[in-house]
Order: sequence, then C-alpha cells, then structure tokens
Amino acid sequence: MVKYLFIILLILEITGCAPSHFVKPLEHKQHAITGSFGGVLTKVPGVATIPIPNTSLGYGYGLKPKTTIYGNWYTTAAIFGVFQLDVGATQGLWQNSKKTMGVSISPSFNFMVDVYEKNTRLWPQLDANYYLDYFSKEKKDRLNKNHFYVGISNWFELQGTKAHAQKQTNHIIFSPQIGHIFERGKWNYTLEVKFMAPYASNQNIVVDYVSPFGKYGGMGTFFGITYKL
Amino acid sequence: MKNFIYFLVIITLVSACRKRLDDFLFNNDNSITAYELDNYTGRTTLDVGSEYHVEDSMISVFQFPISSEGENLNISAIYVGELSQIASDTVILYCHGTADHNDFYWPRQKLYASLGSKHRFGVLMIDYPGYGLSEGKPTEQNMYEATNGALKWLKSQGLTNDRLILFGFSLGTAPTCEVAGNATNFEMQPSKIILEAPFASAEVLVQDAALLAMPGSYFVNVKIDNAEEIKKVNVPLLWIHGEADSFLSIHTHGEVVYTNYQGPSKTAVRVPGGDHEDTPFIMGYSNYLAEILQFIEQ
Repeated sequence: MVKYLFIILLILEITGCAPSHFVKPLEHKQHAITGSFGGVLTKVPGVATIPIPNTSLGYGYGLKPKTTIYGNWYTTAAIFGVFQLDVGATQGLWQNSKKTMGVSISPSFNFMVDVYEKNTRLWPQLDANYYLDYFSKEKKDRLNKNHFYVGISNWFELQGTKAHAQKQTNHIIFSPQIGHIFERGKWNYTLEVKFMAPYASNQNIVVDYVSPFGKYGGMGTFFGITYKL
Repeated sequence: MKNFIYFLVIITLVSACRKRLDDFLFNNDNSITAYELDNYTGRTTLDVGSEYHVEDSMISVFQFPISSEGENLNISAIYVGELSQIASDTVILYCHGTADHNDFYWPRQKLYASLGSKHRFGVLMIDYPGYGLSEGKPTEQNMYEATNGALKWLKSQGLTNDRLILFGFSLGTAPTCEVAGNATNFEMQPSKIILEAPFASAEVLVQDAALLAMPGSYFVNVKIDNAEEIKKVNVPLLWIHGEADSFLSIHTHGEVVYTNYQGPSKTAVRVPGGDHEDTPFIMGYSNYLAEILQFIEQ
C-alpha cells in the first residue's frame, strides 16, 4: 500500500509541480536563475505526514520593464524519462504609485514528452497574483525586502477524453496559492502554500491528503530560490 | 553563486539516473521462509472464522518450474482439495492481489474451498515471482508466465477447460484478463471468469491522480490494460466491486472493465459500502459465496 501511495504522490508532484516562478516582474534586462522544490502533503500510514519533493530549474529575463519571460525544466520528471518544460511570461498589470503592491499574470505552456512511447502533451497555464511589499530594511551591503503574495494557478486540459474513451470532465484545474518572498540582495527565497484543486474529491484515490478542505483537494508546500545576475 | 552551481550539479546527476515506477505496482513480501496459513500472525485480507477451516489433509503446498525472461524459476502454490479429484472436479485458479504473499490471501482461499459445500471445488492459489516463496522478480511478464505455469500444472493433473474457473482479485485481474483474452498464448482457457475489484489500466491509475489526461507511459512501462483485454474475452463474466472502493474506484476502473466486456453473458455485483478488501465481509460471507456459486452453476 505504501508503495502504491508513492506512485500517486509522484504523479501529483508532476502535475502540481512548482511555486509561482515570477510573481513580480524582474528589472528590465535583468537575468535570473531559479530553482524550486516542494510537494503535496499527505499522510503515509505508519510513516508521517510528508511532502515528496519535486524539483525544477529555470531561467528568467526582464524583457521589458513590466514583462519577464521564463522557462523551467522539471528535473523530477526527467528522472522518470519525461522531458517536461514550461515557458511563459509574467506581465505586470497594475502597480500602485509607491510601487509597494501590484498585480501580475503569468500565461505559460507546460510541455511533456516521454522517451519511451513519445507520448506528447501540452497544457496551457495561467497564474494571477497580487503582491504586497513590506518591511524593507537597508543593510550595509544589501537591501532586504519582503513580499507577500496571494493568487491562483490554473491548468487547462484540452483533451476531450481520458483513457478508454471516457469523457474528460476536468478542463480547468484551479489551485489558489499564498506565498512569501524574502529578497536578500541578489537572492530571493520563496515559500508558498498551494491549495490544489480544492473542489475536486480526494476520495477513492488512496492518498490520505492533508487538506484544509477535508475530502476535497490537496495542499502543497514549495520552496523556491532565485539568483539575480 | 558557488552554492547554486553545486545545487545544479547535484540535480543534474540525480536526473541522469532514470527511474520507472513499475516496481511500485507490486507490494510483494518475500521475507517468509514457509507458509504458515492458519498460524500466520501477520496482516491478512479477511478474518473468516472457524466455519471455513480447512483440514491439513486437504492442503497441498508445492512448487512448479517456469521459464520467464531468461530465468528458470520455481513458483510456490497452495492447492486446497483432493489432488486426485482434479481430473474430475471443477477447479478455481485464484489470482491474488498485489499484497504480500499467499498467507495474506489464505482466508480467501479457505472461503472459496467452502463454495456450495466443503471442497466442492478445488482451489489453486499461486505466489507470483518475487512473492512469498516464489523465486524471481515481480514483473508483468513473470506474473503471466507464473499463471501459465499454474495452468500447465492443472492440465497435467487432468483438468480440462470446461472445468476451469479463473478468478482474479485486484492485481490478479491482470493475468485473468490476459489469459481469458489471449487463448492461443496460454496452456488452458477458462470456462468462466470472475473479476473482483478489477483495475482498468495503469493509465487510469495515473489519470485518477492527476485529473489531467496524462499518459501512463510517463510513469510506468507495464502494459496491463484490462479495459482493452476484456473486449477479447468470450466466456461468461462475474464482476464484483465495492461501491466504496478507496483503492480502485468502482467508477473509473470496475465500471469501465464491465462496460467494455462484449462476451456471451455478464453479471454485476455492486456492493454498497464495500471497500477494496472487505467486500466479502460487507456482503456477508454466505451471501458473497452464494453469488459466486450461482454464477458458476448457471
């Protein structure tokens, strides 16, 4: 049973996969390297409540003052012979005059292909976040900033059918999220909690989720790290 | 920056070690040194009580050889019934689920030995390679070869196709559908099949968890696909599934297999409140056995 749980958890990792990559656009012409890991929390009988880490590596570039383009390679998927890549852009939509809060959206595409049967899938994604800067502090060699954010992450399933010609009913996978970014000079450290598909039943798929919504959805915790070049 | 480069290197190295999840489909335990049957103190699928007791004289524990994936393996089996009667009895070949080994499923074998009346039917149960006392590794092909080895042994004892019932539970529905759907590849063909809590395919396992239409090949190489194999089955089918199955959903697994069956006759027993393992208990053992007996006799 525990082995079986492990399979399901890994599947969920790859679909629930990562925190928001760029909540706030980078500076114009700025480069950044990113990494993330984290996972869905679940109770494994006789073991503990644990997240199974999923990892990704990425790159971002401040194309315009309000536009950051990015791409991420999912290293956990690679371990299973699946090439998974997402590419997208974060667009700042609104910022207040003091530039202490704003709203951004991040449309992207998540592409997967396995090396065994060359099965290919493409899922559009759309994230939207509101962020708030607070408690900035000048250190002797750097500026420490803090950003709080809250938003939603959406995966869009374009296939009309599932396995064995069964009707696909999950066309939008909607997951609210809340997070915090600790900006320390060139380094950003992100902590995020994602409430995965809180409307979808988590029953009869063997995983015993830790979800604030009981029999619905799952909850993931993620850690991200960004180095700005 | 140096730390970040170290991080990249470690991740890249980890990614180079390609893994698949096939092994995780098999929850085998091969740590035992003998079958303990009624004296087994580990976890078991059911607690069936003394009315289903089987006398030692009716229990035969033995091995038979198979050749699979380039290896010669000994497969361990338990037969309940008179060996000398196989040439004239109806025999149930029980293909157990993914857990542990034969001791775990021994209570079920005792139940089936009481179908109708005590030892009216012979019941053979085997451990797949890597399970219990059977040699080898648990793989899809090894599981089919071990099942074929059991059929070969039954045939050598005088069993004929018209007296063979193939009964698969959970993972065991894979060899059941494989045998029944591919007549020319196996030593014998069943006259009827029983599927309890079948799973549709590895792809459904993946898609149930992901919500997305994600291919099974992203995680496993196994080709187990009962939902397709069942289309080729041309013998009567009895399907039993707990409506509260928390392991293999009745809707995404069982109903799909049952609907895809195109053979001569099919019977469905949907069990309200039944989970994956406890359906016989929830139905009541006598009711459960009565359904099976009615199917075999009709």
